[in-house]
Amino acid sequence: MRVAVADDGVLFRRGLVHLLVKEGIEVVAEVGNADELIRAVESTAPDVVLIDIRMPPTHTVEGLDAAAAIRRSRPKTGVILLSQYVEPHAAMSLLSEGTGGIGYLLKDHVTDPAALVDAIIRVANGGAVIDPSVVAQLLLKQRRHDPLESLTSRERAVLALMAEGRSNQAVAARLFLSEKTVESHVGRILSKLGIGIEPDDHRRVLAVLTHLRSSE
Amino acid sequence: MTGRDVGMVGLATVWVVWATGAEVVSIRAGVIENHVLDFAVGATYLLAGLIALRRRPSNRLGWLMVTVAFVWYIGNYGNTEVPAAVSMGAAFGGVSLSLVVWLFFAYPSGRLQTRAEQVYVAAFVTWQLVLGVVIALTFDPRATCAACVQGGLALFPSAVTVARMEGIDNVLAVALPFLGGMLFALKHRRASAVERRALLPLWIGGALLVASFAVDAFIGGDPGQGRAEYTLVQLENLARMAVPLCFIWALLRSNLDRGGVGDLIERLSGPIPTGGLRDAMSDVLRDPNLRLWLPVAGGWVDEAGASIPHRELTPGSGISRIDRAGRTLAVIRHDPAIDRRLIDAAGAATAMALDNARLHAELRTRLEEVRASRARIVEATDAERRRIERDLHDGAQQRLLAVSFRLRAAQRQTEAADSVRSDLAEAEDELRGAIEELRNLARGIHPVILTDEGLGPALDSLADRAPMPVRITSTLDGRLPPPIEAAAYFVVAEGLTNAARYAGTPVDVTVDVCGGRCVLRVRDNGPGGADRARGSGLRGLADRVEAVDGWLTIQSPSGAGTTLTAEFPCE
Repeated sequence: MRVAVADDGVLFRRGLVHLLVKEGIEVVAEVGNADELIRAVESTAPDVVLIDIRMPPTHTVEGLDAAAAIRRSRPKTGVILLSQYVEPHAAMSLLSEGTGGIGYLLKDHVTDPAALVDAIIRVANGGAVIDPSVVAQLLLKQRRHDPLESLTSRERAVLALMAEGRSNQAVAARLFLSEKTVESHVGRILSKLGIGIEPDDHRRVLAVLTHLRSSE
Repeated sequence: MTGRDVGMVGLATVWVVWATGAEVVSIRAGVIENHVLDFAVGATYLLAGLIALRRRPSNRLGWLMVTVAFVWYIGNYGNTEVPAAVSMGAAFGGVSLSLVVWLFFAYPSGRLQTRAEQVYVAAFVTWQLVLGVVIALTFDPRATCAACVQGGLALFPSAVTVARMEGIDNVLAVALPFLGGMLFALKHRRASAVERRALLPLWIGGALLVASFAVDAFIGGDPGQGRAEYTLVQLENLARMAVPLCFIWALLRSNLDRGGVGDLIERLSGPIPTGGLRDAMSDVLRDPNLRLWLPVAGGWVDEAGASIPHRELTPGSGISRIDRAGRTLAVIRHDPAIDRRLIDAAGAATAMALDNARLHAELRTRLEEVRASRARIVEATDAERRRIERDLHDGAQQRLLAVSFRLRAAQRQTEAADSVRSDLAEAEDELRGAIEELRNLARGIHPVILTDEGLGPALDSLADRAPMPVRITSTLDGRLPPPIEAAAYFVVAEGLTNAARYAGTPVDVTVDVCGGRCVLRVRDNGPGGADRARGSGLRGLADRVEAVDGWLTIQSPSGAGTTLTAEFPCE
């Protein structure tokens, strides 16, 4: 697994790279801004790029722009955006553009090596990864006629993992269920919430997040 | 009665004797002309001249008109049997015409305004005098009429010289009126609107005079012969009266204008809208371009409170101060031709209103300053908040995350004891809590998403984090000015916080951008009964909204929910 890291915070970047190397991941480039990143991606062709959303010079959306540029020139490259804040809409705008191989993680969650490596592998394989905090925040919302009320606690757990971008197989492993059981849970959840079956994983994530964000 | 008045009565008396004598001479000599009109021409010049001398002693017009009143009759005395008078009459009868031309161009200031006018008038007067002297020295009436007496001053009688001079005079009689008309047209073009109104009778008189000369030159007959010639001379006389009549008319009108000042007082007794004072003055002084400024601390402003550089108000022609009790109440820029006394009268009538307007303008200026300074304070606060957030993000948060990496790495050291590992895990949990708190603190200080992506996404983010459903309906398109976005964001944030605390029901947020205004509503269906005094939060919020020229209201009838409404300008 070959990874490139872009973050202008040197301390954070060193820590992140250190952790990745320890986990046996090859870090082919570490850079501090978007231009350097795009050049590094061209020369080293990594499998996955981890990009801080806020980078110099304006510290606004340089990371997002760089991600879009990389996706255009090398559509196979997986992109994980690192954010300081939980912003569901940013995660969703990412999903609605892409074709998979995309992740959105909070910076304070990447310090967990197992979760980080898991995310990198999933994104490298074309999956979608959404930080659990984003999903948790949306699930906390109380609604007037809440369709989530009609879900069993087991179904809610499955829904949360779906929203994080996990495949049926992964959900099954997490919850110690058979894949067949998970499939039937997923079918029931989607019909209770009125969501159509989506072909791609990342489309399914998008549909679920959209549903969770709506206040009706 | 002052010495000047005595002098004038004396002058008038002398004139009456002189003019009456002239008419008696003409009648006895059987001159065919309207003697009453001939007398009236001189009389109007004398009357207007005396009035001018009395009211505007420094103006040359008075003396010029009085001079014309006398010179006018020299020709009449040429009809006597006294030889010297015959010569004088023949020679200088025409001089009064050049003086009338002078008056035409000198009206109303008494001075000739351009070089061309000065040359023209000087040439005209000089020619008349030269012609007079030459004629006096050479003209002998007996050459053409046997019954006539000898010209007393004709020391060198020469019929040829007289004929030549008359020939030149005939050519000039065509050229000079033509030139004069052109110069007068230029004078008219130069004049202001007020001056043009005053010049109108002169135009009519001048046109009559030029026309009659033209016809005269064309017919070229003897004076006093024939019906047409007679009518022409009477017309000429009427035209000559244009200047004095004009002068008297202008005086009458300025008296009428001052009557208008009375209306001004009445007009200003009611409430005056902003700019109303200028309009009223402009009407009374009949100057549509009049401008008015009021003194405030440190400068000059118009009625709306907009300031003007001091150098534009240097007193001079067309700029007048209106003073009262040693204090300047206002400065007006006006048509330089407006009578100073009329301006003073209007100023006196408007003094009270001017003082009021000055106070209002000063208040408006102060308000504008306060508004600007409040906006600056909010802007500075926002900039400071952005800086603190950036510092937290780039500094403390990054360091804590780096520590978090180290702790994680340490935990994975396989050789570490279990007790050490669990201590490290606890420390890592604590650290994660600290990072979380720091992050929320930074967001509370300044929401990054607002500066990065604008109001729409920032409101979505607020709605996402709210513990209850929030429905956002928005016509927002693109970005608004940063201070407006910040104010709008904090209104919605505060509205949602209050709704979560007191209502706990779903909330509707609407953002309506229309016609340069942005209206924001946060509505819940809770118990209501909130008021603006409830917390310092709402007061501070109102200050923030008002600092960007907006306003904030809260409607919270008991049992009917709470609606927070804010409106901003958002061009």
